[in-house]
Amino acid sequence: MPSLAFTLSGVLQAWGTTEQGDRRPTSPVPSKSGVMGLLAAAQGRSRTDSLDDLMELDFAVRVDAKGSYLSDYHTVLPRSGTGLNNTFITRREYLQDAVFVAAVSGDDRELLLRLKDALRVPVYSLYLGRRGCSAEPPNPRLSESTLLDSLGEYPFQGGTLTKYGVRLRDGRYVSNKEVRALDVHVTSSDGSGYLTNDISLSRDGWSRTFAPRRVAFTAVNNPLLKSVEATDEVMGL
Amino acid sequence: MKDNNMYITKITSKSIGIDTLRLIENTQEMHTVIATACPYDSDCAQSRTLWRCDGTSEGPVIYVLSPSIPNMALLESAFGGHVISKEYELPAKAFERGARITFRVSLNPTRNIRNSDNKTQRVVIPRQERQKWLESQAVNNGFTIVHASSEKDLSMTVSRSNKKGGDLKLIKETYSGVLEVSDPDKFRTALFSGIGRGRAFGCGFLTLGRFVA
Repeated sequence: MPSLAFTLSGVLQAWGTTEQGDRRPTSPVPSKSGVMGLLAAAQGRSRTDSLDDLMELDFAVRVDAKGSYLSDYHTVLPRSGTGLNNTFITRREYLQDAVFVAAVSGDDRELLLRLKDALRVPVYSLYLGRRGCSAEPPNPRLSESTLLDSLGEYPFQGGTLTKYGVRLRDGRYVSNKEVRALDVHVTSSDGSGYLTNDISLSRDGWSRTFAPRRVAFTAVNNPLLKSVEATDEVMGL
Repeated sequence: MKDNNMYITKITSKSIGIDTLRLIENTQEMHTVIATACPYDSDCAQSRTLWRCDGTSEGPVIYVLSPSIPNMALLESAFGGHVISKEYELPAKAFERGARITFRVSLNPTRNIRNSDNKTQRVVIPRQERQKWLESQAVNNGFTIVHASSEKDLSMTVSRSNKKGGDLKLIKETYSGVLEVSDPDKFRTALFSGIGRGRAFGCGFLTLGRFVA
């Protein structure tokens, strides 16, 4: 089955799977509904168009950089006609400096090709969960590999290889061991993992409904370290 | 034939802290640390200390060749890593004419020219001439290059000098590949005393890897 892998990275991301009124938390990884919404926006679908064909795709996310949480103190001025009078306060959570690689996979190669083209020249500006979270170019890659294999091949976005080890995006150097395995969140096939409400069922303005999905943890080897040779021996030592 | 045995030391850095990185990037500091750890021995005819810092996938590795056992504690604390040291012994097979061995060395690709004022000036060898220059250096040191490539780290290291003239710009290029021994005596001298200039700053230490067919 062909797979399409692409980067989800930006200064801020926010993937809400539970909206709780005053507190708007973010999930630590991108939600399927959020990412499929991003693909739909790239294609130029409207906010009320169905996402059913995208929801049928297999979905997995590789964590290249966990990022950190930011809780924003956000004031909301109510619009006239909503029945709300006073400014109210919400706390919105964001992920800062997180880097993910998402992958979708399905039998319809044509659909994946269209999605790839859409990501390269999106109709609507891409954002990561909330509108203010601009996305960096997603650099999509279509391959014939399976979902997890494609994540094992897509280049590491969290840093570069230098002679001192791996230099992460934030300037820190870590040894290769630290980034040898990358966490992957994928829809569970054996009942293990956590539950999240990120399957979009209907999108009618603000009355959106979701169904739960069980997500399992797995890992892939960091493709950055594939071509790295072992330390050469020195004669006499 | 040597009377005293030299010692080869390998320093691997477990924790790549900012201190270790700063130290490694500062060639003058490296010289100071290594020279302090391997004191000059006036009794020994061959008291040159040689060193080289390699970047490997597991982090930086430093090799040191010294006339006596270095101050291990000093090296361990300076680099925050693991230090092993032993007598440097090479098999006799390495000194046979025609022996083919993998090698690595950092060199200072410069030469003297006579400039317009008819004064001798040290200039950098242009990139196109490097291969030829490497081959001529090899011949002067008792071996020939079977094949060699330059490793990506062509570093222009600036090292602070308290002498007049201020900063010292040192260009260092690391070569690795396969050599063939042509003159065993010159080769031995090259291995134990180093090749070319910049030996205080990490150049000139020729290390061997393994024999190839």
